[in-house]
Amino acid sequence: MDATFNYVASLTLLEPIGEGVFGEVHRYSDPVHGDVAVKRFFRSKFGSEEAWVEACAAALKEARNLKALEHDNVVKFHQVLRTPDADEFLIVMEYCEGKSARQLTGANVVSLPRAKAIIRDTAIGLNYIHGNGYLHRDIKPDNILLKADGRAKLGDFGFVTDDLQFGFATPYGTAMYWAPEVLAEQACSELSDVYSLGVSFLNLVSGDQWFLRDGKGCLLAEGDNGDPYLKPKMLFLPHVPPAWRNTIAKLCRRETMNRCQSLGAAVNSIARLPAVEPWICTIEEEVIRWELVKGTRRVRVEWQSYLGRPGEHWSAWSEDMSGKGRRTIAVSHRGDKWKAIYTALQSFFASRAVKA
Amino acid sequence: MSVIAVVVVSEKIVLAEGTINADQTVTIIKDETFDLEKGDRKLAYVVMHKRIADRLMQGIESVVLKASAGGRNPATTAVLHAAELRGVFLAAVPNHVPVRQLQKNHLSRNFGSRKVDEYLKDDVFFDENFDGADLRKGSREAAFLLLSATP
Repeated sequence: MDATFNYVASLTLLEPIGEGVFGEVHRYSDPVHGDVAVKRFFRSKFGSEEAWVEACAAALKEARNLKALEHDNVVKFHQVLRTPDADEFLIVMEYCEGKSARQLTGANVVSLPRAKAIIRDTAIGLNYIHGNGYLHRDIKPDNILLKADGRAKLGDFGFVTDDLQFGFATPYGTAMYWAPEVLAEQACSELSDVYSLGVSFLNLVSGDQWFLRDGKGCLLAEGDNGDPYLKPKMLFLPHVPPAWRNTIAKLCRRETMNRCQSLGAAVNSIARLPAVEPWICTIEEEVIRWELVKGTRRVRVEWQSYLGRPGEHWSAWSEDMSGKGRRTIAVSHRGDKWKAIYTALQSFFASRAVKA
Repeated sequence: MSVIAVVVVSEKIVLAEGTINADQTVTIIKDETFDLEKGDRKLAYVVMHKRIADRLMQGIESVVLKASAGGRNPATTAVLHAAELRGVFLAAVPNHVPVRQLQKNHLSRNFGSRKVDEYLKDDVFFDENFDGADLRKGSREAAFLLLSATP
């Protein structure tokens, strides 16, 4: 007796959210869960019946992985559906109103406390995944989803696996966030997820403009195969304190033996990061601006034509909340080269650091 | 199944996980420190609760916790913060995991002939009674709780 029943799911299509490697993602309304995110796989997008069957199996595996890994910092799985004609396969998941951390990095407005909270939540979720014998294999800002209350959740479990041999799995994901050993040997491990977390953290404290730029002090280089990789020597935005730089660098160490050795250790090193002044840093193509509200005044810093361009200079001043009453705090010296300017900015921010 | 021994101070929680051997020695499985997040202490407690709950989720038979020391000690901020963090830890322990709380003076009276602090400085004692993963000196007090919690 065929025990399969084709119940009707009352999902209402609202809007597209994005595209993944194997399907599209849309926001739907569900009568029980409210807004949900639905990953849709279409038979028409696959070249053969065999490829479609494989895709459905992979999608089902993703759903099972999601279900097995229920945690506050992992996106929640609701159900799996298929259309009556089996032309479409859907994974229904929790909807994250804040979109993804990529929206933050793409906006190029950096807040260190917010970056820390997002990476901390991500690290806790990833630590949980590792504790259950899984690897994520595709940690990057695009897969760090944000709830309206600011909580971060790990998403896109298309590449999560517990299929490990000797602690390794085959790699997937975006090469920029891959650990060097993954690029070389094509095998992921817990430590490669640590590396990807570190690069994501660097991306979050930099914004895409600073993280992806070319030129002096750029963070990325191109490998022999054309894939970008993180250079060992990292030039952070000047307001990032030394303890933060050291922690991020330790997550991103090229040699596994020098890298933070587990997600548990990573969570702890993130917890130990000292509190920072809540500067809001905006990175544009020609200028980087910082803003901090202190009592009844606002402190502003501008770094014009940064990193060696003609006319490079910086200045810091305070003003009242209406923008008047400007008082100069510091300015760059005429003729200073970019390294001296960068160092001076670091010293400026260090002098205003939160005292422990 | 293993036992976790815990020492809580104002800014961190030290955990030593081990199994009790038939000869009453201890094999250390893991020795770790959970530092409290800097900044907003209320938020830090929420995060710590989550981390501890995740940590204790699987494969833990019981917990031994160094209890609050009452009596003559003045209630400094550090002492009060440690007590708060101990409460956060206790609230995070899963329901099915029993918790035994041991005070330091109880340990001194009921284990061996020396004070606890004398044992903690004794490298030979630790070499003889503990094997397995490396044990940091800062985790010795937690590890000692494992030993004194043996049946």
